[in-house]
Amino acid sequence: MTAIEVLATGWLTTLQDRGRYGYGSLGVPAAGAIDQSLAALVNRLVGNPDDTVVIETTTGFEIQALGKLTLASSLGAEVFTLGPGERYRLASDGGRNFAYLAVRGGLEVEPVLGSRSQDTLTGTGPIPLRPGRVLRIGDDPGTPIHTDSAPVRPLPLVIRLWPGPHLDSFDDSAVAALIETPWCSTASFNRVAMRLDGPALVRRNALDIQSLGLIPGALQVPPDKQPVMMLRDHPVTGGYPVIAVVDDEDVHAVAQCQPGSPFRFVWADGSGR
Amino acid sequence: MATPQRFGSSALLLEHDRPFLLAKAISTLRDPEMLDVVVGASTVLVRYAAAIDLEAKAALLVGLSIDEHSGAPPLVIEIPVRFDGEDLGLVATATGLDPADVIDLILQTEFQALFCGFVPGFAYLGGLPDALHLPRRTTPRRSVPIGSLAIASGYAGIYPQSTPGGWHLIGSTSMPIWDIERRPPGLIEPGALVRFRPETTR
Repeated sequence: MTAIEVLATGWLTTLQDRGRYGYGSLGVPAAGAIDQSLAALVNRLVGNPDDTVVIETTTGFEIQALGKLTLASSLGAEVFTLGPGERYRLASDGGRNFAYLAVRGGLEVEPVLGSRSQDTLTGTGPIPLRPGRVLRIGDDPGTPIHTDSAPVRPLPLVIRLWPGPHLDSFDDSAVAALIETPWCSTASFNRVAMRLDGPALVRRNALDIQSLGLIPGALQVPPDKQPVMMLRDHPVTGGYPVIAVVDDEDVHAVAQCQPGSPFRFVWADGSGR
Repeated sequence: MATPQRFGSSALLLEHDRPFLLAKAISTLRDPEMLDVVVGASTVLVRYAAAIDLEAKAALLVGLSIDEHSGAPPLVIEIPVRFDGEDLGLVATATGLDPADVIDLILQTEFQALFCGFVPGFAYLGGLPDALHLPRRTTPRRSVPIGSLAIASGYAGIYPQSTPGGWHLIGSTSMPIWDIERRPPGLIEPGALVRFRPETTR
């Protein structure tokens, strides 16, 4: 039985897995890794099941191995080992906002409502990671380790959009602006949502919206007319109009887009609206 | 029932005037690809696993009938309350009622949980008498005591945790509204009926 000790945690360093579903009507977000495909990749490299809990970070964290460990990070995308007492630091600087670390065997943490994900909106989940915390590593899964590195696919720059329930309440210029102008991610993000930078999205009418359920990828437009894309810890329901919804498969691409990086939207249904 | 609308690539949004009834009917479908059913103020959102045939899922929902008399009747939850809220006097003045009348109106009402949101376990209770309809406070409190019974915008609600809050505090309960160890963790689910009674001991 081996373990790691957390030495330092930067902003948004949390434990994440697939998330917890089935509690939306009680107000509990699903949480889960912002970039599920990257979390699955690092798990696969070390021979873990895809949905094993990983450490997700933005500005970084430092750990110390308290025994021999086998790990993979989303920066190097190859397997490496740490000996007892060795330290390791991971921060996202590889062209993406969120980075991941998987440890072979996983981290022994009690699930809460079926998941080891930390939800930063409601606080549901295991206790937050803090310096001094010791996390035990699970048993060796007995599976092969992938010794060759796996390329991390580049982020798509064209993002598929579906019409939102309140699209018709927006001006024609707003609907056109979604597709015709480039958009940028911003530094205004966390695990709950990300503000996007682009033209003001004006509404045709100012009718109040009745609170409705949301999903990651939903683009809400608050009164300041700048869209906000929901991420994994989004509030389960919201009262701002939803102009459009980013396709499930492209949400991580926007979330991983570093501030100022441009991308474009296209309608996923190929319509010319 | 209105046609389910696509909500992104793996969710459907349905309009309904009593969403908790629709949500209950949808939940009986026991579809392993259905991840969650979220009740809104006038809609139900159904979330599915990725890469499913959303058109096929929509077709299954259109055929669903909602018989409000089938299945178990709604749960009736009785919550003991002490009417010690900081804003009880304010509410009385604003509504032109005596505090005793405000209390009576609350005790005589059978509320129904319409949907949850804001924080885990916070249920928006409908059925508040018109005489008690008030807008939210102009300045929210930075911290509301856990278990506070409050009213605003035609709803009543109990704060399951100590959080910021903009509603008028009229009472409190020591009954745990949210308990992560309990199944289900939320005491009040959409559709449940709620009555308040005076708390005798604490």
